Amino acid sequence: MMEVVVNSSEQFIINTDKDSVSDYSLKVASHSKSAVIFTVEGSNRATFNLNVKVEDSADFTLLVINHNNEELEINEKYDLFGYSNSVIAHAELNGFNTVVNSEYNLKEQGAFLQVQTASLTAGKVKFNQNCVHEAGNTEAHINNYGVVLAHGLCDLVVKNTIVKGAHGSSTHQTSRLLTYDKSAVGKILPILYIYDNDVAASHAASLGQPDNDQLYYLQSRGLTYGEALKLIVIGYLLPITQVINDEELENRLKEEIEMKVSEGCSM
Amino acid sequence: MPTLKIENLHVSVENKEILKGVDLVVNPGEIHALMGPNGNGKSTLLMTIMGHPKYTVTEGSIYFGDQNVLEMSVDQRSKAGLFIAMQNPQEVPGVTNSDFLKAAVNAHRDEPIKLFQFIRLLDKTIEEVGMKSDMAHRFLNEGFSGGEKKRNEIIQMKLLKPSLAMLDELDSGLDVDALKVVADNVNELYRENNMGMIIVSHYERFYELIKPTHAHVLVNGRIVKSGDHELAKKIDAEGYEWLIKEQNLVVEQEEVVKRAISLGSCAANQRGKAE
Repeated sequence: MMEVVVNSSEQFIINTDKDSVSDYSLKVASHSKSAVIFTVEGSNRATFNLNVKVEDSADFTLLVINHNNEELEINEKYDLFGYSNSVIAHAELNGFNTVVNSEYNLKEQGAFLQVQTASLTAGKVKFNQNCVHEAGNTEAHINNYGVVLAHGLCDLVVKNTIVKGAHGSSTHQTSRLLTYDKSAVGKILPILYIYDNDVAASHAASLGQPDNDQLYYLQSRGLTYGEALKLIVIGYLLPITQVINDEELENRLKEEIEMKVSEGCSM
Repeated sequence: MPTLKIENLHVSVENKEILKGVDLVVNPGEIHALMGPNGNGKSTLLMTIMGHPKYTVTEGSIYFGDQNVLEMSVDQRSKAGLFIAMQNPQEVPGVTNSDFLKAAVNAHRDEPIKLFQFIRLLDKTIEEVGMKSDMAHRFLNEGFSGGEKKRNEIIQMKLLKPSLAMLDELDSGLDVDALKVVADNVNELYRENNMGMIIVSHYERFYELIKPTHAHVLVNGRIVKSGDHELAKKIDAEGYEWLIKEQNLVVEQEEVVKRAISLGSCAANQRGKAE
């Protein structure tokens, strides 16, 4: 287990060729502002376990980029304390099987969470997300955007719970999957468990192939069908770049998304 | 500009015939006003010329010069110089205007445009149509007002410089000042390129700003009357009633599709749209 106290920006490389199981525990210091990037790379089946405690009034951004060329399981748990602000992003663009099990606990009043995932799936990707508002006046936004390529499968199970007594909390989830063709499979299961009255909760989900009217619109300006489709697919995945408050990293991720879409959409 | 020649065009949507034998010739520099009651095939004609897959041509031909338009894909039609400013431009979340417009400009060029050159061209065009400079970085038409969407259509038209532009109710959603800006830009492009145009509008005010050389009335999927700008003025003043009597026509009513809606929040939203 690697234990790290975070109070500034840090980058970690998880090399699956060295360790098949990696355990990290992060403590994000109170009132600090920090951004952490985990890049998973290598060519072995692996498990990455991550425990994060975000202390009160901390401003925290975490990005996990999966470049592993084999199956990966990620188990992550976040405990978010009073008036902390956390943005958690996952970029799943590698085309291999991945399971991400996420637990988000908003433990004290004022905790804010935004989750943003982008997945380009050629294999099988599953997100199991469980967000629990344990205290009042907490807020969570979980946004999953994915494109499922031919013969791929993407499965999203998103559960938001507001416990009894967590007055004034709001919890929202949006899941959107674009299936590339008829052989691509997308599944979305949105779940809301609400045990208090004075709250706001919503879910939105959409699943389907690219919109013909959008494709026609782009084609009518001279883009071929393939070019129009790529633009729409990139558009599905780019929102993740907007949550990263680092221009260099944002551009790097944007370039990676464009490159992966070019590779994936010409398959 | 090549001449657009449409002969005996029959078009169906989901096995319902909408156009029932349209003939139309648009020569370079001609501006054709296309009028007619709602649901009689005006937008269908424009969308078919541009190649929307929903519209099936069952009979007839469309030639642009010596090119058989019906054998061309949508993007090939654009590259050949055809352009449609749509009545309801699509919103494409995640795709910035800037990325889309650059891709569109490059699709019409042999060599990709240099980034600096493109930015300068885009900034200038955005200013000319009176939009805010941040539109370039916003997602394509997402969250745009009706007027902004229409101005964005004009930005695209100015960047692509078509030989034949089809404007489908471009004036709807525009206030008086915006209408003038849009019309000035269309007129400038018309003068520069000797562009042909087909304009669908219900309002003489727009035809006063972009003066048509020809006018046609489309009823029940056929052009039943052709003339010049005076015809558009007469229809604006007197409506279609005189024409319907003169031609002894029975106007087929537009079908209103009603969907069964179940109760619940999504149904409430659907009801809101339907109303």
